[in-house]
Amino acid sequence: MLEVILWFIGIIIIVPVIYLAENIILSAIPGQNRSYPIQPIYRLIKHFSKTDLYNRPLTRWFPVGACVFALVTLFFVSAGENIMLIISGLVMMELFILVGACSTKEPYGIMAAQRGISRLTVWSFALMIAAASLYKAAGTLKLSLAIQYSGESILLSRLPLVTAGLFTAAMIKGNLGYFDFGINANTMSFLDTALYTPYGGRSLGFVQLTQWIETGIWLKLISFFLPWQPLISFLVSAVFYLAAMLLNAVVPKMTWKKVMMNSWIWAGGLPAINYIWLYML
Amino acid sequence: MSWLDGIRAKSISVLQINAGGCTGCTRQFQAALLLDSGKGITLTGNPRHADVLFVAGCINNKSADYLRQIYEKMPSPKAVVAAGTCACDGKLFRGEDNGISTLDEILPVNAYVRGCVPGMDEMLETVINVVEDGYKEYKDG
Repeated sequence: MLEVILWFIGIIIIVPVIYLAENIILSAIPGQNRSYPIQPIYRLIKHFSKTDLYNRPLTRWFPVGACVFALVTLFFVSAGENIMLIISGLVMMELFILVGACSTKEPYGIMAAQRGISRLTVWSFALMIAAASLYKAAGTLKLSLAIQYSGESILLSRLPLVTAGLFTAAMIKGNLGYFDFGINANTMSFLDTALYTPYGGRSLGFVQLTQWIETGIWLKLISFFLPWQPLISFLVSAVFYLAAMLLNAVVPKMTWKKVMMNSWIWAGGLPAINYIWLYML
Repeated sequence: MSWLDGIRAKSISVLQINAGGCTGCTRQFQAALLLDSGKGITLTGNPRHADVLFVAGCINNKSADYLRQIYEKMPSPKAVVAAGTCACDGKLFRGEDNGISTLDEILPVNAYVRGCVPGMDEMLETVINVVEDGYKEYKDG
């Protein structure tokens, strides 16, 4: 139980640490917006100190519900529970945010919810294929048992594309999967944080907190597929995520339609290929 | 300055609105953000995320309605900064019979930054001071 509690706290802490590292590195790069190292913490406190402005009283409770589901899912992932429980928790959390966005009855809210649903189809598909592949490879859906299997026979060697697909899905969830290395790439301005547009004030604080916890859940989930010790695997996935964030700050971004097309190819296609390959073995 | 205002001042989201004009003030502000003195200030395009409404340019009847709508969508506490001569007092265009208003006729203004165009540091310091002082509304005298 102590190990589970330590993981629970560690996963919550790792995401602000990643943000801190990102801010320190970006502040040293010329031309980047200057910020304080712990500005994400300042921003969170600021959001919680502001009021909500919704004409529908229930709207403010949806982000709270999402945050609760994120915490429950975090406990499941810390304990190495069944992957289906974790998928259910993540989907419930996302649905709470989407319903809250819809309930604002604002054009931006509806648009944000539509994009959120498009994204939900991609990453939930990737997670389902990952669960099926895990069962096929390790014979269990429980992550703590899958780790034991990974100690005997490296899981990554059987599920390389699933791991890559999950990491892509995590980047999509963190609004990082939009890189365009073409020279004619255009930026998406504020629309790249589509899901947050209908929220403001305290609700935005809860949504941000939910996203932090969720990022930690994804990193821990990916670390189960990596071959090293649990702590080292978790740190490796965190370092990869930090690299994606730094890339996101300096590389142009794609348009939304292109994002979704690429998301299906990378986050949906790679695990599917891996699953078919497992069947052919 | 309370500790909360101190924290708020380290993470300020500014929504820039050019109500009609040469865009010099808003461009000057964007350039100022690249300096070290603009630490912690970020631009946003969403009123729900904004702490400070930074208005520049001549305000006519059409843009006045939009400004009111945007202000209503911002969560409290919030501040309004009038930047440049056009937003502060209409100046060059004020005498014409064309429905030009000053910003304080439309919204409660927290601070004015005068000049055409205002200095970079003045704009940044004004935005930070408004938040540090607890979003107090400007009063003559």
